[in-house]
Amino acid sequence: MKNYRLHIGNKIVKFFALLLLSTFCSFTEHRQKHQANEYNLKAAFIYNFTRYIEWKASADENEFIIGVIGASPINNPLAEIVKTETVDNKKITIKQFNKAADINFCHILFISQKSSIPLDDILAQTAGKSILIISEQDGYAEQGTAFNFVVVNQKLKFEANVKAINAAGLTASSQLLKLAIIIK
Amino acid sequence: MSGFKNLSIKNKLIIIQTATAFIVALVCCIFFVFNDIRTFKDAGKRKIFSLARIVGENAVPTLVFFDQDAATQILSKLNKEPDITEAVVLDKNGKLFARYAREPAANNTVVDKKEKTAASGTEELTASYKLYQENEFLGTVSLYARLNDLDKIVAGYIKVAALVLLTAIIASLIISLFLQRSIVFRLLRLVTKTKEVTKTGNYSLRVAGSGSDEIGMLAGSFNTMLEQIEKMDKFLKRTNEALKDYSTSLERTNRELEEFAYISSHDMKSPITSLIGMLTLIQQKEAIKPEHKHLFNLAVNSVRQMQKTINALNEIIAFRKTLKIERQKIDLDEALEEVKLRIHDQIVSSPAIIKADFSACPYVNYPAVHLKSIFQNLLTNAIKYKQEGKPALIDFKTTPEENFVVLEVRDNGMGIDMERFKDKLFGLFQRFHTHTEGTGIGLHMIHSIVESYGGKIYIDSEVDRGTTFKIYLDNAPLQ
Repeated sequence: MKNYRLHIGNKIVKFFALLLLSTFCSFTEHRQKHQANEYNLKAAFIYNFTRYIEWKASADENEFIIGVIGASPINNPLAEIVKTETVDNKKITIKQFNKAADINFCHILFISQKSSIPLDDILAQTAGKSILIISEQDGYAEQGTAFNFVVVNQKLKFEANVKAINAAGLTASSQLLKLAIIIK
Repeated sequence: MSGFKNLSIKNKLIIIQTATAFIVALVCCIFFVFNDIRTFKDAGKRKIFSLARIVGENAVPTLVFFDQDAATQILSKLNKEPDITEAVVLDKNGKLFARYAREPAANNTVVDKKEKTAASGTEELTASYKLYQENEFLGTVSLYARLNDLDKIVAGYIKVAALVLLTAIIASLIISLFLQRSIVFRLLRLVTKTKEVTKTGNYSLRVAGSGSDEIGMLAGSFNTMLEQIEKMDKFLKRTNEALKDYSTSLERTNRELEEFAYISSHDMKSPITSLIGMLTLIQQKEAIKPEHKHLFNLAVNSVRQMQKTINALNEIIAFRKTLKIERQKIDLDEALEEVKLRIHDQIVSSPAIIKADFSACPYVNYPAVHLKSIFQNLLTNAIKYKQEGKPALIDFKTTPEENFVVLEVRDNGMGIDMERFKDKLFGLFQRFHTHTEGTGIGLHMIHSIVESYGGKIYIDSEVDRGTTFKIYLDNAPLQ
């Protein structure tokens, strides 16, 4: 019993330590590597989401746009994926947004931890548009982003807000939702 | 197989029918069992491949999002399939991603399982399904299954097959019992009837046959045959009856004739004796004129000849009465010696050289009187009909042949013209040489004796060379 509690405590400590570390940007070499790994995964997840999400088709589109808010380590791995992969035979482009007002149409909007724009502003800006909003901060899914990356048991998982997905007029495959932590 | 041959038709039919039914049912059962096992196995294989596919498709997102827990959860749903012993998901690098095992086992079970599959063959099934998403290889799902139900199903089939076979045997037995009524029962009736006919000799019996099949035809032919036999039997009986009557009348006539011959020869004996006495007295009294002496002598000769004939007749009649007397074991050498003594004068004056070789068969079971009579007649014949100016050479020899002692007698006499006298050899008073004295009863007597005991005589002869007699003496054992 004692051991178990210790274990859990250990994990929580580790998790918070990780959060703290990332928040304060105090990277050691090891941490940098770990972070690079984490963002590689996140980039891959984002790309894989496209296979399980259905956007309303618009004929004149000839590119698939991924928007990123805030300067994030995800840019590099995303850029790597974009080089080789396509979505529905469409080229993928990455757009960087720095202000809420800048946000125009994109298929996926990734809100980095480093985003300084308040979430409400982003949500207000994107409301009613078919934009899949992905975040990586605790509690963001509850607040209205479609997916939110979390780390559970040292594994990357994602929360899904089905209401938010539906509100954006998107359809998420049940297979995808099965893997997600559903937020109501 | 010879045991089967001697079985009654009833049992044969039952065996044939039962065996046929059994074999047919057995072949059908084997076919169906094998077919069903194959179908079951195919279905099992298909099911496992389908499961591998379904599980695989469900596991694709888990691989995409590296969610091992979800993959394990998907695999764990296989626990409702008792056949599946293990399931694994390997990622694109072939590393273990998720695993499910019905029985908890060590980490390296995957390898073991593969070896087992290779070793034990049919009952272990493996299904692998490669996972792709948009042509990107994601990993492999492998299911390992064991068809646990197969044994149960086979056992069930064996039970059903045994039941089917039993039913087939019982059904065929019942059917053959019915068949017996129409085939075997009628055949048995026919057999019983034939036995009855054989036993009683009653040919007026008939088989109450019916039907136009082979058995009916058999019964019909049997009846026709019986009818013919009955007719023939009646005819034979009638003829036999007539023959018997004829035979008795013949015997009676024969006896009367013998009686007549005896009486006449006997009655003639004394008048002839007295006639000879008279003639002798006449001669002593010299009552005949010298010029009639010649006639008188002729009369004396005729009377003498007559007396001889009468005596021979008496002899034969006396001999006939002695036929069928007791046999005894006779030493052939002794018997011949005795006969030689009896006719010693004839042998010496002839002269005759007699040789005997009875070494191959020194004894014979025969009435002594008759054997000696045969010897004596043979010797006297040989001496009487010897060639002029030569001594008579007579050889006796015996050989055993089946139930007979064959007495072979060879002489160097004047022989008999077989072409002329073949049919008259054994007749009474038959004479083949007119220039010598003889009554013509010798061969007749030998023949009568030998035949009366069931034997035979063969004669081989050449004129001026000699004669060979082969006499088959019946050597029946003494009683």
